[in-house]
Amino acid sequence: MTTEPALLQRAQRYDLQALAEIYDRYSPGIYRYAMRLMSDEGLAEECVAETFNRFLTVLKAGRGPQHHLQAYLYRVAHNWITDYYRRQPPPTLPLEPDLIPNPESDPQVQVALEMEIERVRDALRLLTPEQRQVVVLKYLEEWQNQEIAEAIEKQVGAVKALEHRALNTLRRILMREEVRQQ
Amino acid sequence: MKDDELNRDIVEMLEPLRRVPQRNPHKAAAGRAEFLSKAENLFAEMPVSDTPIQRLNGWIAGMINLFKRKERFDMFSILTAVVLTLTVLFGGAGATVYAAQSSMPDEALYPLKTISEDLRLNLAVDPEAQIKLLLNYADQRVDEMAELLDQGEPVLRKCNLAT
Repeated sequence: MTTEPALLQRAQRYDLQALAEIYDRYSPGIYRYAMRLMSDEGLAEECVAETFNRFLTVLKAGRGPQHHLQAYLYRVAHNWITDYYRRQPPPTLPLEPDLIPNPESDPQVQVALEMEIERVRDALRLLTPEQRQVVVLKYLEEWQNQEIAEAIEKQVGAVKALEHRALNTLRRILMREEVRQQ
Repeated sequence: MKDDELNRDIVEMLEPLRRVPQRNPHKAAAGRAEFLSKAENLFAEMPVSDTPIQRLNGWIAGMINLFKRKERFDMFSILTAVVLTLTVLFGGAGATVYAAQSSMPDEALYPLKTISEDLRLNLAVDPEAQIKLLLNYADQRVDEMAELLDQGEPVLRKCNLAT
């Protein structure tokens, strides 16, 4: 498999084969990342398209990332999602959520699970953009602190501080809701 | 209690978000095709030569490499050493003689001044030029004596009256 720096160098020379490889390697992750935060297939596809369009634009301008391509793409995707959140009113529970197909499961359990997912997703939206990015990259994408630091362009110590504050905030939001539901 | 244990409950609550419905393969393929088509169009419009920004970046990188190259740096070091040596040997001596011209009989550089005057006199071939130089030197001696007198210094002992 071609290394990321080699792939990036070829892309900077406008090698279409390299660009196709970059898309194949990173677009599934970007889609997954967007789906986890937005829970909307159309928006997730739009996020992927916009992220890679942005990448093409900076390549054409002779700028763009010199290293850490994956971190760069996730950063662009994250910024797009954050901008989208800012433009939207606070979330409401969809009437027809995209259920995860599982024929063995009871429909009632499925709906309850989907509502629980939506509750956690809404709690994530109440975090600051950076806190949300750290939590999602660490606990859902399973990135190491160093990789996250590259994606958010901060020191590892700052990543740990953001993670600590984010988890405390999530605990306050989710646990308070649980108490209220009981 | 360690942070990891404390946060386990919250991390477990995030767990359901891990499951994401599979991406529609048709939409994924359409997105890929659109991306590559856009890339092809964009780069087809590219000029044969580099953009101004790329040229600027290349120029900056070239300038940095110029000073980074080991051989070039060594040559600079040798050249600098040679120039410094010549300056010390010749430029320095010249500067010292020049500085000696304003020295007084009771100063360390004064012998250098009189030696340089003798040298200049010997180098002057024309008798008329030699006379002019001697008159000039005599004027200087008088000035020196006058200054020593002003300072209350003994004149005859300190002045070189040989010339």
